[in-house]
Amino acid sequence: MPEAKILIIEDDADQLIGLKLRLQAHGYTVVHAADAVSAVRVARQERPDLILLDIGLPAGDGFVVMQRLHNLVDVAHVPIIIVSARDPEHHAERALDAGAYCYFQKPVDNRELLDAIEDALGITV
Amino acid sequence: MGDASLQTTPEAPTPRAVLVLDDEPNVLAGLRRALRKEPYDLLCASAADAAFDILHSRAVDIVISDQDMPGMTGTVFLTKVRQLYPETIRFMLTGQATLDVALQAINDNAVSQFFTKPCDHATLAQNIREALEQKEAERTLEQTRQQELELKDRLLSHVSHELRSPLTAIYQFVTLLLDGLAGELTSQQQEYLSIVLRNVNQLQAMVQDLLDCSRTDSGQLHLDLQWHSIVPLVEETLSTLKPTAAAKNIDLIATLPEPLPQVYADPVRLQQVLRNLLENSIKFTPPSGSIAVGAHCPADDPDVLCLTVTDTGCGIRPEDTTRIFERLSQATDTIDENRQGLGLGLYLCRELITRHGGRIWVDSQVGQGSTFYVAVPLRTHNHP
Repeated sequence: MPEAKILIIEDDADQLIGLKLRLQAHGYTVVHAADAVSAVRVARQERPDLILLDIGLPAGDGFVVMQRLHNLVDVAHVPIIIVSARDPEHHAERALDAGAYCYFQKPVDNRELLDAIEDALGITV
Repeated sequence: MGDASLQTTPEAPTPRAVLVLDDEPNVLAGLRRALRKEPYDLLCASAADAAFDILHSRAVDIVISDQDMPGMTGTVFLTKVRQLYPETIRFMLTGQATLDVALQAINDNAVSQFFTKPCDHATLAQNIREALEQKEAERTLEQTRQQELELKDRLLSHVSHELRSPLTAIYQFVTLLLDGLAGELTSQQQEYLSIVLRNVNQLQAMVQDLLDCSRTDSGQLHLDLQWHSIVPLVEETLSTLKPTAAAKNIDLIATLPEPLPQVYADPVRLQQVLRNLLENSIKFTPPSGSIAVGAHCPADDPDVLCLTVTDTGCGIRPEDTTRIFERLSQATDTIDENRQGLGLGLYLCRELITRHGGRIWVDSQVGQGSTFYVAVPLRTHNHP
């Protein structure tokens, strides 16, 4: 079982719990933040191995968060997977250009998300 | 999104301009006097070249041309104007008003109105005013239509976005339960939750179709064309829809001959077309029926691969076989009137396939079933 720590940045409480339970069931440690400001703080404190980032967030969108995270020496290298309800037609390219590992539109298939997480973490199963 | 504003919008409504082309200075001077108080710029040219210089440099609403001029006749001039500036209204004002000239001008669609010299300036002014008003009304109408389209796009995009959040939570928790992450399930619980999941997937596909329909209308639907085999795509779609078919006790099978040539298409979009056709067939096929997916290379068209979906459904009346591909359309008087949908699925299929340079059609017999044909291009195609 993987023992990586994943930071979920998601403002919808239900989705946060759903995702958290799914990841925990696969052996991941999960920490979370629900807005753009605490996201940066939690990332710095927790030093996650991977970040799942929503775009529509209170107090600044996911792009702002991504930029701030990339500016933090301790966190800059952490892979970020975008999981957003927003249309990839309009946002995916921008997210990838900004350094995201990949972009998923909600609802994302469990298997696809878990595979992408393993890929990003470099876990071979 | 704001991108829609990049499409051709009518030019700014200021200032209106009327251009008169006549080689007789006194005619121009007379018109200038008569029309000086009218609410538009009156531009004058005494030769076709000068008139074109003006047309190239600014927007002109109406062109009024003489017929008999050195270098170029009015009919020829106005025909060129029509080709270069189709939005510009064209009048002829001539002293050589023979029946032949008038007939030719009208038959060549060179002019909308014909005046003879000497002309009553008040009548001409009135006609110009009316033509400008009509043009203004058309312009406003087009602007309103564009605004409505953009508004509808924004609305659909917003709705689609908003629907995805609760859909995500439902999907997450249903799959958590189904995977036994909240305890073991009885087989009945398992069965019921599978039904929930199937419907969640269907709802998700509908949200996607809704957004795509809006995109096709505003020309924002992009295709990622590539060479690929349709076999895995057909298999994947079938395995996704098998549970839905099984719920109605419908046999869903694919018989694909080998080898099949690769197609040049967007695999995601092609799968969307197949999914829509299959969902449609499942919807209109009574329990215990069957649906078969096939593929063949038509002998009379070496440039396409033909994908077929044949069902034993209620069939489509001949007068409906074209209409079902129209937007928001559904065949009336189907056996089971409860089978409603958005009426977007087949429309979206047609739009997607047409954009590939392909074709979609149906053969059907009421009470016997239908076969949908999708002709997918086998080679690169210059898109319209």
